[in-house]
Amino acid sequence: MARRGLLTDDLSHVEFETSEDVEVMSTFDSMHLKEDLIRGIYSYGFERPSAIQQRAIKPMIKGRDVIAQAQSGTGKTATFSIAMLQIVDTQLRESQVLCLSPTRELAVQIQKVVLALGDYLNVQCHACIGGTNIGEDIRKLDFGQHIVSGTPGRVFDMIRRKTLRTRNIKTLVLDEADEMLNKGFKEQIYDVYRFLPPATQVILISATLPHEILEMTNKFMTDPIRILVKRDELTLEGIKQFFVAVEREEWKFDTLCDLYDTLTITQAVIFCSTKRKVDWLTEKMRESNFTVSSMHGDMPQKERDTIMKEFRAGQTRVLITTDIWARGIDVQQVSLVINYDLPNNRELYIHRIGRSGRFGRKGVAINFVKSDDIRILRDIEQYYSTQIDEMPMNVADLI
Amino acid sequence: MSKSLDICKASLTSLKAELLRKQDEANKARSFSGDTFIRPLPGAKTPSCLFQSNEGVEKRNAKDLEEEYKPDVENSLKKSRDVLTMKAMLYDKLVKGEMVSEQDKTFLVDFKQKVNENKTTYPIISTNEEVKEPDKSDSDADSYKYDSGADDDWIDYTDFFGRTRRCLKTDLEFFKKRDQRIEKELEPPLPYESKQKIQATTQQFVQESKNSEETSELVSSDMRREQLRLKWEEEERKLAERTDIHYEDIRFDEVREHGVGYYSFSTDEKERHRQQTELKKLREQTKSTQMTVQKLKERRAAQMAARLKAVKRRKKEKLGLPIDSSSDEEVPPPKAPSPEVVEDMDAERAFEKLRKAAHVRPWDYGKDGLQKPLLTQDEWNEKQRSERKSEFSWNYNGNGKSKNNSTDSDIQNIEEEENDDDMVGPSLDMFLTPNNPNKQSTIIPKKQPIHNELDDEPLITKKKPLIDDSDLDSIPLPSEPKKGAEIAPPPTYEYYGPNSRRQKVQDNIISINEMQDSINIGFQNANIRNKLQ
Repeated sequence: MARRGLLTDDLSHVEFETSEDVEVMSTFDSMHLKEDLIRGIYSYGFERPSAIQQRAIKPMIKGRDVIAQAQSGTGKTATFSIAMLQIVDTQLRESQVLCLSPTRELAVQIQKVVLALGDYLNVQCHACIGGTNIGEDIRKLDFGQHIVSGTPGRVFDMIRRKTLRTRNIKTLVLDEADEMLNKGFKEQIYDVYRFLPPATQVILISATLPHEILEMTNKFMTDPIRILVKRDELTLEGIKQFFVAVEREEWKFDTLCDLYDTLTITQAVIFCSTKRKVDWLTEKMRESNFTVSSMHGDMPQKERDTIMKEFRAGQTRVLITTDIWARGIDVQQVSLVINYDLPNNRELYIHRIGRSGRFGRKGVAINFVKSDDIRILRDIEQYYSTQIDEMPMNVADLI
Repeated sequence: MSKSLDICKASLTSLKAELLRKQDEANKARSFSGDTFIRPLPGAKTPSCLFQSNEGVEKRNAKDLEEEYKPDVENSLKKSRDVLTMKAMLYDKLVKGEMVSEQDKTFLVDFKQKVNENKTTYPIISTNEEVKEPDKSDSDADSYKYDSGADDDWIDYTDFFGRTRRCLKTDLEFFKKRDQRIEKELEPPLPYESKQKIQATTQQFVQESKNSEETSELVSSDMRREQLRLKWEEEERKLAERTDIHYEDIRFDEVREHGVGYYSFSTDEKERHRQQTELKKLREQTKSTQMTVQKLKERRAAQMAARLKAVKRRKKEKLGLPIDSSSDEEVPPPKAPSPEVVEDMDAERAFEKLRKAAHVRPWDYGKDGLQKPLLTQDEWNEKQRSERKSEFSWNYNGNGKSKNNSTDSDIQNIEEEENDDDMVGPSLDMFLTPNNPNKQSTIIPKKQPIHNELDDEPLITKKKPLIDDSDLDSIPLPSEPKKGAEIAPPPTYEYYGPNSRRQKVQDNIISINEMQDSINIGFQNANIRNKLQ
């Protein structure tokens, strides 16, 4: 029986739990998916569904509203992609599913996953993101796209221009839902939602779903199935977390240089707090003859795109970036994450360290902490009931 | 010479002697002729019984030897080899770009261009020019290099641009003239000095590119990245023109592990289609083969079973036992999985849609797509109250105000609760809730004032239309006497009153009986309604 909140406005004392009637399907074959979809799933490399896939795909296909939470890198994108592909009628060349994400890179990645899983279905999926040619967007949408994956701004623009026809949209997916329903995005989501048919199926998905987000879901969802993860189970065993204590900010750079050889074993992502700091650190690393690439939101989209491609192709190994990269981006070879600066909130910490250790792989996260940061790190450690030790000498062996 | 010989000791000794003598002769001959070859002297050829051979063989051999080692032939060979090595050196220099600048006009091969090209052209050129190149003093017209191939009518030549081409012998003149014309048109404009400059830079460039080839492992990462960038840009430009894009089109060399069954389809739409149909065909083939094999197995099993049965029967007949026919039943073949499940899914989706339509989300208010302007709970209440006869109405303005509020929210809660159940009769839910431990105790207060019963009545009847989504008119109003669950009022006031423990037990007993009654009545009503519809 789904636990329902009181209809009084104050939901802050209600504890949200996983719905009780969630079925567990232990294989993809037992989910009664389209044959060509199953083919796509296996050829993409999935063999057994992950915990979230076992639970969430079925209710999504049934048409239930779903709030799904799962640890980073456990196949959330694939979960809703599979469900979307099952729902879509490929004979009808109209937009049937709309998927919104907070960053352009993530929207493009989702498009890629959808096309990969739907390769045998010959599904059409368009990435509708800002910073690209509007004319091309219009042309592509005119051809008819089964699934549209995009960022709220451009998608809303396309809807307003009537290029993105919403009449046949059955499902709205909000990836990284907590970010999408945060102050910055909520208005935009509302704007888009107003154009969708009433009672559209809504799917929320994220690794972190803070209480205040769950509280507001009844505004646009009907009796959702909830699949939630307790916060003490949110960090993955496979990702080892460490910290390096530095007394002064300048020492962080030296520490990073010392670690450079470790960084390049596979691929690494370094998170800074601001775009300016990203530029500064990149410059400084290059001055010291270290090869690094960098990316942040102030770069032109074309450059961002190229940097992403290079990093995905393994042509660059160390990426210095901001929280634009914190959520959802999946590069299999990333095994090391460095928090040059600690993130601004607990949720971002989970997302950042989740860039490594993708789908069962091993990962290492290293936090650079000044003496007054240690308190924050301890708070994070306690909140997620996890363990963040001082970095050992043999950290390279763990990657 | 390979005849089997009779070997005796004497012959062996003589053989040894002969050998020594030959060696001696050879030494002498070497010192005499002064070259490296050992040449048997004609005088040494004393035929012995041991070395007899067929007639004419020796003559033949001698002739061969003579021809091979004729001094002038040998000289020419040596000379040609020297020339070749010289030429190779020259060519190497030319390729390196060291000599190009001064001797620009003497060569018809454009070495500036040559060195920029692939290394693969190197061997072709060298074979074409082998003989001619060292004698560069020849006139321009003569230096057309040609090489007649297997067909006598065809001829290979190198044109002005350094390309190796093939034409009919008769056409050679024409091509020569054309090349000269091109040469004239292209050559003159540059003054000598600037030409020199260009050559210098090209030389430099050549040197660099050679270096980069040698040390490609060290320098290339930036170059490679640049190349990839160009490649991706090209790919994207192509994508912009296409209507359909697929996974392979947007991979952009990503490093990613795929499953074992991963099939990289072609980026060409037609080819992709062909590959897919091919795969489909293979799949169907596999399936049909599996089917036939399966059938074959089944038939064999059936035959075996029949034979066994026959054997058994015969045995029994032999023993004079009665034949029992009980084992004749055949097991029906297992049915193939029916497509029911898929339909089931569709049905569930449809049901889900209906269920959702029954509830209006706050963010959906005012959308023109809404199927019907459904009333909110408050509006519904107001409507009911306005229709109610005045003598039954409740005084909402007086002291009941606070209670009124609470009941409203109660009703809403019940309403919400309703949505969770898969269309179970509303009356059942009403009575189950207080006793059900699964339900949130906070939602529905256990104690309800008795007047609540009146308020609930319209609610119960309202449920159905919400789910059925039928017209408002068909909703049975409470004033209609027969419809709606006819529940007997609770026998005692204590039922709703403050309960002590003892009373609670009693309550339970009563409520179970009552519940059954109400369920029955509810079902009956539902049946009647169904029939009417």
